Amino acid sequence: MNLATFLVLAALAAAAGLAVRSIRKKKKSGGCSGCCGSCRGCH
Amino acid sequence: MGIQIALAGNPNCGKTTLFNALTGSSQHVGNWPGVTVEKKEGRLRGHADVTVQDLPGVYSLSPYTLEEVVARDYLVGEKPDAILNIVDASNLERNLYLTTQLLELGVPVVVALNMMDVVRKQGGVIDVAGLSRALGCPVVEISALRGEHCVQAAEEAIRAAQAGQAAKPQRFDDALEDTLGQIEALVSPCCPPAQARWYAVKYFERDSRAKLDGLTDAVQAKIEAVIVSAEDAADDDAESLVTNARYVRAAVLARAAGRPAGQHRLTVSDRIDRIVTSRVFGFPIFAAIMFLVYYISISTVGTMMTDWVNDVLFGELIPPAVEGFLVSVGCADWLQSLVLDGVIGGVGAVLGFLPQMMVLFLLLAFLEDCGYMVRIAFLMDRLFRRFGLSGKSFIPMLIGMGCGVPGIMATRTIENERDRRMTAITTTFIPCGAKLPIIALIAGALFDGAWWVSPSAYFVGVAAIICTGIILKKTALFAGDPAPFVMELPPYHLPTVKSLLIHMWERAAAFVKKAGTVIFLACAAIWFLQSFNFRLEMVNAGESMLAAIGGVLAPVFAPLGWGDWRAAVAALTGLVAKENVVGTFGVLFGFAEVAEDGAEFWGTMAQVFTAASAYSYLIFNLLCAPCFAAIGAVRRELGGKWTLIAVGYQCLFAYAVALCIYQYGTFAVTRAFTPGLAAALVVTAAFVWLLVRPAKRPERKLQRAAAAE
Amino acid sequence: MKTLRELKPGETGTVVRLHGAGPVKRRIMDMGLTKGVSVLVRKVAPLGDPIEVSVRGYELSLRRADCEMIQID
Repeated sequence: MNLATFLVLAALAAAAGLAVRSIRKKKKSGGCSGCCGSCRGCH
Repeated sequence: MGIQIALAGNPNCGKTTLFNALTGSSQHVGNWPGVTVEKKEGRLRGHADVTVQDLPGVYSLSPYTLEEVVARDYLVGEKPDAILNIVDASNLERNLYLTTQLLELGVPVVVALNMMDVVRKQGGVIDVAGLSRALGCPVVEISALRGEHCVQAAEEAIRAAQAGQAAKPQRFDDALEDTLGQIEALVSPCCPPAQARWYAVKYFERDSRAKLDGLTDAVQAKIEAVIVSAEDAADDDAESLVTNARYVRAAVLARAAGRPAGQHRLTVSDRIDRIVTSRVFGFPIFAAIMFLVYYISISTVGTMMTDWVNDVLFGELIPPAVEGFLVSVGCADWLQSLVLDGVIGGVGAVLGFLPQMMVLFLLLAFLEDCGYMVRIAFLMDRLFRRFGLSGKSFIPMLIGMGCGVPGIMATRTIENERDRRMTAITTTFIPCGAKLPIIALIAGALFDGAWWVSPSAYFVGVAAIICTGIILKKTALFAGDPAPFVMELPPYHLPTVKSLLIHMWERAAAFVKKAGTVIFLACAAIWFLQSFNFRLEMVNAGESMLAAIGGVLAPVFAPLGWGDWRAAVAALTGLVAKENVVGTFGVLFGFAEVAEDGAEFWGTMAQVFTAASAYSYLIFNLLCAPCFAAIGAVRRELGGKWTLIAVGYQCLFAYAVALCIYQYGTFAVTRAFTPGLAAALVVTAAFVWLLVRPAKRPERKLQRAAAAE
Repeated sequence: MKTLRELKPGETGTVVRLHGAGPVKRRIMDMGLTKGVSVLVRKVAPLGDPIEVSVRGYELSLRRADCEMIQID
């Protein structure tokens, strides 16, 4: 694989990592997985 | 040493608004009773050592409802340093009724008189000094909505906490005071002196939850004797005696404040309600409003913007630009495919519906904030009662129109366990925000934006709830009388543009965030599974791992008209997040040769579905099991066993309905009698039987048991 | 015995007594329907139930069945 491919892949992997971390955080705090934006019940 | 200030007051009195103003957290203000049972805490702005505890809105401190129990357990058990009692000035007597109870707890009390602007608009005036004198505690005028004097009220509460002077209980009539005095003498050896009055009253009321250790049987017998003697003398039961006395006192207090006993004024709200909840117009108006909400957001305003996002943004702008970039830097083909067909194709498909969602949420936020939603519960109550639910069950469903998770959590406020279960099972039949892209996609791609498709999604959900209610209530598991329903109707008010925009923005942000996380990951995974076979060679979609997996699942859905593996897989990914159905479609169908024009994938889809199978697919996805997050919420409320039952029922129900839709829809066109049609007829017959069969009354069981003895 | 259930929209009555027992009765009293208070029936919902009344200056929604517990003069 050439450099460009590697970099793009790395960028994607980083984005995926951030996504997973964000989901984990949400799960810990409430159990709503970023569901809705209507969260008046998620007090 | 930290100071704890408790916020107590009726529901809808502005307590949450005040809490937000004092602590700076931006939480939503709900118009509905019972929206919070969780306790909320916050640090008072500008005071590092002062905590504000927001208690659930309660009308009283009886031992009967969840909210009241939570509130009083905190007030009696954890004893805050001061209570800031928010009183709705436009509703004095009923609010002061609670105040008389708070004054008995042996804690310093400060009253914050809210909604003074409403009173002034009605031409009323309040003698704050007079009220303060009569109550024996400080009274501060505030407007929580406008943020006026909120800090002063908090500081008054801090002063009261530091002074440590317990509030003085109100005096009732002599006979009652005499009785209470006797009981107080009997209980005071066993409780903190400041709470002697509180316990005396509770014991007099025979309150089931107020228990003091150390009261011997002899003493309890004496107390009982005192109570009975008082009841005989007054010819009324103890609980009623106290309640009456409190309201008598509340009326006196209201007079002291210059507001004589409430007259029956006809306000603008009442005039609106005259029409909106009338026998003749109520339901048609409700149906029309919900129709308009969905029609406007999906089929008109939203469509224009979505078309632009799909055709232009994700059609002509982004994909070619990204492709151009990737090609120019020499990125590998497979990676290009992942980025373009997988991520952008999938996430882009979902994000395309953002405009429609924003419009929908704006409209729903308006209905919520102005107070109309409560009226719907009022309207639906009788309808729900026919199958044993109360209007209170409808509130979680209204919340569920945004997201099912808080809707299911809201079922906590339903005390009756059976009702709570039934509500939790049916709440997700109402389309949530995440299902909206599915509705919009099918309406747009497969029905060419027909006006009736999206509103029908909502009404089918309501019908599903009603039918499920009828069916379940006839089984022994759910039969039983409906819960009591006593509910206040707060006046209508025009929501501020600012609050509407805030709601809309928050929801849009959450949606985008979800797209960038959950959906992004899911689409990448789907891309991977449909690009490779089990030997990890790159293949066409039809030979991929996903096709193999889908191929196992697909035949199950063939009777429903969509036995294509792509449709089956997309429905499956809906379990992670409902938006994924659209995202997966974007990846799978957009993968066709001409993937430059984003709208192309709509065309590809149209080749796989007929009108009947498309609608069947839509309804299946709307009614079947909700996303994992919602299932998790159901599990937290009902426990593992009932969750399985719920999910199983939902999938079965969805399957049956989708089957009938497809078979009858196809029959209408082909007039061909097929085995599938026969199956649909059987299912329909069974369904009808379940609906109309006589109910299993629980009494019959008792009769049989009695007869057997 | 005349109860709140028999009042028609637009009619007013004074509460004499509350019958029944338990949480529902307490709830009704907590909301202000106690001895001596004046109640005005505003309207009846489309399907006949619940009923909206005006009491102590605000609007309250009650089941028809619960209204049977409230004795009116």
